[in-house]
Amino acid sequence: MKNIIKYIYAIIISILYVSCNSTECTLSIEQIAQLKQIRFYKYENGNIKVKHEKEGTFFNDKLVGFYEGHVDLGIDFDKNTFNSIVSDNGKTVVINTKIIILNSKNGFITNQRYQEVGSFTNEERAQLDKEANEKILEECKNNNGFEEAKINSEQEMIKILKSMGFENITINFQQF
Amino acid sequence: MKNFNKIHLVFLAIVLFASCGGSKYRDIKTAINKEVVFYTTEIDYNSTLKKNNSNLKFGDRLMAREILLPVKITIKGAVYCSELKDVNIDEQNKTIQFTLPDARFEIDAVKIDWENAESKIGILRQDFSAEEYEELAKEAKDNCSNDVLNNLSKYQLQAKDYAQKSLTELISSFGYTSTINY
Repeated sequence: MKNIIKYIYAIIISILYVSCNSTECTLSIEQIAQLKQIRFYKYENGNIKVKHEKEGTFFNDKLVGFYEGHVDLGIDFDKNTFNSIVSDNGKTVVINTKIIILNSKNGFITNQRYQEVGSFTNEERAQLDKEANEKILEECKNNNGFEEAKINSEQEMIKILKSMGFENITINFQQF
Repeated sequence: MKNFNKIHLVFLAIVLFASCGGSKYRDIKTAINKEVVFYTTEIDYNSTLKKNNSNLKFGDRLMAREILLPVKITIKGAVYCSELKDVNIDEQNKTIQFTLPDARFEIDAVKIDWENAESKIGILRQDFSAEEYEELAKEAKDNCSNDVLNNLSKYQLQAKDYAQKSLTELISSFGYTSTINY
């Protein structure tokens, strides 16, 4: 009788062992880099939806992605997109610069949710994320993000430079 | 009535003190918009999650399933310019002095690297669900945030060090000498 109970315990423990979900994580830092950027405008959107549909065996397969993301716009002092010329004994300054996207190469998405009916490949999922990134940038442009960034950066830079004692301030923006 | 006058006097004193004390300090604090942020550091993480979700009958390989999901996350160290402290500008001697606030660490991007994802699904099993992918991406994000929290003093020092170097260079391009404390 005791042996039977032992066997039952062993089976239960074995089943519990194999049925539990295990997740391992390997975390590594690729690089830590120095940035020289000032963000003058942040476009945020938590309502980006991208949908893919294709014919399935009986019903259509659907893949929907819901995304949150942001586009940071401003000036990078380390990308040959900024120079300043001071003259007139420190009373006049001319700045030549450009509004650029400050986000990293990893895109604009900060959060994602998916709904999937049917079967999709990883390439199709990657394509969905790519489209979401494009859509966030497009929405930013449609909402005059670059113009807002230009106005904000001009206003803020003039205020700061005035408080530094500059009297004549010219800011030239290159095409963005 | 006396109390009312006292309150008035105190209020007047506060207003006068606020309007007189350190004019340059006040100028620059009101000058900078709260959203103006100086990015100093970029930390790129590679996170690979291995999930063995073998919700299976004992020993049955046909039911096994496993996934390797690489997630790339970028976190940026940001100094909010409106939080600069003890700002002093001396126009005559062309010097600027201020204290840097603590940098804030913010998620810049979360990219699931689908092209390098690998999964082994037993023929009797369904693929991982979309919800499970979400869960894995969230876990990767949490791991990176935890790493920043666990090494906060190290990253904080690095972010401020980078900010000091960049701002010194930038300020000198306007003909000023800077003293940046942190």
